[in-house]
Amino acid sequence: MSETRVSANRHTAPGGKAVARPMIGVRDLCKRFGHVEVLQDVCFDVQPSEKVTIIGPSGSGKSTLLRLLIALEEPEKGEITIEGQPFIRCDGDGHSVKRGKAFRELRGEMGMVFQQFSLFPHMTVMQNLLLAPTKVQRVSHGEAEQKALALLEKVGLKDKAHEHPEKLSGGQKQRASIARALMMEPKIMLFDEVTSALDPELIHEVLDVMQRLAAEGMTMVVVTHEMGFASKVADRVIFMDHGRVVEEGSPDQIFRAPKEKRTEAFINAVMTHI
Amino acid sequence: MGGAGPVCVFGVVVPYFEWGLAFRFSHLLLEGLKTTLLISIVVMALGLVLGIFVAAGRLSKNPYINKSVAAYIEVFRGTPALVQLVWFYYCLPIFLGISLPGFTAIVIALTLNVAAFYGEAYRSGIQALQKDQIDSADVLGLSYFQRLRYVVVPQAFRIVIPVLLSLSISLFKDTSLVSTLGIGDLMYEGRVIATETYRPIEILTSVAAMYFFIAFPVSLLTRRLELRLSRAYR
Repeated sequence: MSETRVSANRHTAPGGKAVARPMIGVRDLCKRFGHVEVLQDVCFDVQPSEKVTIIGPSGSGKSTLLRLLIALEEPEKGEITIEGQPFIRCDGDGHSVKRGKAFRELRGEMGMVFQQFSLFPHMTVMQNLLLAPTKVQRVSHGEAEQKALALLEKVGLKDKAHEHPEKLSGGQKQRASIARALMMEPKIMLFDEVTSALDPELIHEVLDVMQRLAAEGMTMVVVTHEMGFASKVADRVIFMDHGRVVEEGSPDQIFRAPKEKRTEAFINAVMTHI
Repeated sequence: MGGAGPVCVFGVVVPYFEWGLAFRFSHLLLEGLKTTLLISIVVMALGLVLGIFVAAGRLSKNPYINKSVAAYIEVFRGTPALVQLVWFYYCLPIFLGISLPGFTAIVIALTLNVAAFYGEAYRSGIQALQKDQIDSADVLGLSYFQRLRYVVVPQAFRIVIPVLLSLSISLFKDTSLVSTLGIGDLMYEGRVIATETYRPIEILTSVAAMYFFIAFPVSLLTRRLELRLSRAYR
């Protein structure tokens, strides 16, 4: 096991201090679709308030990893803990997936934003934001509306509250999606290539919102092709290829002095095309 | 001379069409139309509800439920509706050992037939939804039924309304099959009048016109809805 893989198993916060309970703990995670091994023995931790960016070529398993973290998929083997508590576990060899006792509560601690915005088109922006708090958390309509207006102001969409998604640009839809996820007050935010479907001139408005969120201390796991964002905001960068964690480290180390040849080849290829 | 032949025949035949005949028997035709509309509305209402269960069964992960419902759909979609009517009208009371009113038997047969089509329409509407929509609702914490109620059904229904309306127009016309069993719908009344008056062309054309004047506005509505929905979801 390389030194960089060993470091994945130490619980280190930004600044090098050991922390007992990571916000997200991933151990030996494996996922298969049919005969295709999409993830193989993935191990890493995310500490509270840490910003982890996952990069890698298409098909490396990055999005599948995020989907496993929030239990949209189930693993063939491995364990995920949230705040040190068992979330999902599978012993492999045909054993069924076991969910932790606090599965629902822990899942509620996470929010996710998808590549394709995924706002509900038959609802206005405000209705999109109010749906989950009022139906799931049973928050009163008035209270939820106040919170929604504050969040929409934060993401610069207060004037679009009563518009349907079809009237919004791609960047506005994505900002509304982020606000909708934040309505549930998650402790962890997962972002799955949220700028990939946007026109280049709209990307910055979404990245600005994510940077502000990062500055407020949100724990974030971000799958992205935006290397500028990764180098500026991330505390740690994980490079994946063919379903494995190849290397992880600080943005400086990964982008300027990668230890693995595959990482170096990827970074060179990506930086050449910027 | 070849072209003049049909013109001469037409010139001889046309004055002998009695297009006013339908008005003379309008009270009978309207009675028949009432029966047709009653059967159509009852079957549509029952079929739309049963179709939801058919779609749910077809989407079920339980292989027994899924395969049973698939078999039901294939049987009712793949066999003539007339044969299904004959089976339910004549054979079902014998198998059940009870006396079943004719109207009830044909409503059951037509409902089972149309529910197979409605169910497949619902299923295709649900499956047409982008997976991200359902995933988004899932990660927001909505339960299965909340996802169906607030996200899936409103969107799927918008997608399938034009299809459901088209199927309903077809059903309305297919109810004419019950006339072969002696049920007094519009087609039955038309055939009786045609037989008694020896004027099948005028009477059956008038019957066709009555079907058309009810089906056409629904068809126009379907087209308008399709246009509106395609604009809304651009």
